[in-house]
Amino acid sequence: MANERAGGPPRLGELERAVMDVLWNAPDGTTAQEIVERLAARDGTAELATTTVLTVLDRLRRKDFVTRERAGRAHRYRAARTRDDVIASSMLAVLETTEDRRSALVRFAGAVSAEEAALLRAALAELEE
Amino acid sequence: MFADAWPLAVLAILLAWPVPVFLARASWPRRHARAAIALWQAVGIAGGLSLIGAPLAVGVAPLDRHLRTGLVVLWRDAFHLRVPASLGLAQEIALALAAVLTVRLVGVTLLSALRIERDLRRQRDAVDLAAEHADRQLRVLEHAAPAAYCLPGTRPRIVITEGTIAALAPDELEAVLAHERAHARWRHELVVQPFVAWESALPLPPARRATAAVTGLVEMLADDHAARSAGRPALARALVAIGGTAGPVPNQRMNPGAKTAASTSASVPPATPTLDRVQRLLRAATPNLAERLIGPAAWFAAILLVAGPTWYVLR
Repeated sequence: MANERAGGPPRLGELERAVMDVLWNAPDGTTAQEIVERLAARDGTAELATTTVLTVLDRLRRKDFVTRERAGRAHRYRAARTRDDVIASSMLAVLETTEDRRSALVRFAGAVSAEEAALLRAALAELEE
Repeated sequence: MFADAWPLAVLAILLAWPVPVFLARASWPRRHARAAIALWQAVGIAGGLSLIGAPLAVGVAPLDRHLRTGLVVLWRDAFHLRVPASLGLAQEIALALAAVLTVRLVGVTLLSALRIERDLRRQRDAVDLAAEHADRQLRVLEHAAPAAYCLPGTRPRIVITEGTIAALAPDELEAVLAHERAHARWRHELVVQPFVAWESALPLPPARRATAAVTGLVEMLADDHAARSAGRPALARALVAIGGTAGPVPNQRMNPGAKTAASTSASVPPATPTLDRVQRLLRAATPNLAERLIGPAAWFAAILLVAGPTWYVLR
């Protein structure tokens, strides 16, 4: 895992991303212990404490990114949505920005009709003369 | 007999209708975006206060000629759980109206702020987890449609898609990023959000006009920053490249039927904000003296609009 602060422990945000990456690559779900092992194997670093990973999983659950179910004595964790779904709904929220959400998400430039696109290109040609 | 109520009512009516109409139609704001934003804010504040102040003044008119002293009398009596005997039904209705308006304006503003914050938090979580981190601020979404936006806040995120990178030349991309960085750096959401809140509190044409105008003006401010660092041509090209691409999401205004209806009813299509912004970048005219004076005049009007009624009520 990319650790931007040399020598220091990885930040929570980075851990959350790393754990989500593991979960997105494990559609059938996985346990906290397996996550610990995969992260260590992937980065070639010492294993994190399982409690650390459980804390991260808990945070992700509160953000509705992770679900869990009982599997024997442990829990199996699963990504609530695929990565593509998360990206798609981000894009949808932006592209469909309704009138009263405008404040939260202002796009660089809204989509325009074909006629307006033609006008835009004409305006641009004017600029480049 | 209504003492202070008349001037406040006249002000409320002026600020509720003719002033927003005039301001929204004027062309000088695009050359003096910051002053125009200040004036819109003053119109909003003075409009809201006079809208509440006018019924309040009607309500306390029998107690005192002045709104301020009348309110003091009303407050003292209310403190002793007394309703002043001189208040008739009309005054009670007026006071109730003022109270309802106040509660609604404050309540809806708070709710709107909470809802926006919750929305933003969800968006931040999504891009932090699912997007590539190009640097501390910049997130790149793996999506083919071009889009660029800013998730504002104390730790803002600027989000672009891989489609954006693919669609733009390096200087155009720099213009887009400079534009979004300006939004983030200058906390433009703090300018726009109150107008969105007021619009949901009083969903009337003047409020819609104000929100649309201020949203557009904030884009122009960001454009000015981007034009300074990346150049006008690059920014204009970026606007055309991104704005000229229809999004993958079906858009009500873009369905073919609606489009033909629009093109047959009017030969000149209505200027969209994007088109407006490109044209503004192309016409970088050197302003004459009168045009240069409009900016300071707008600032002066904004100060007067807030200070004047405040002085009048507190005198």
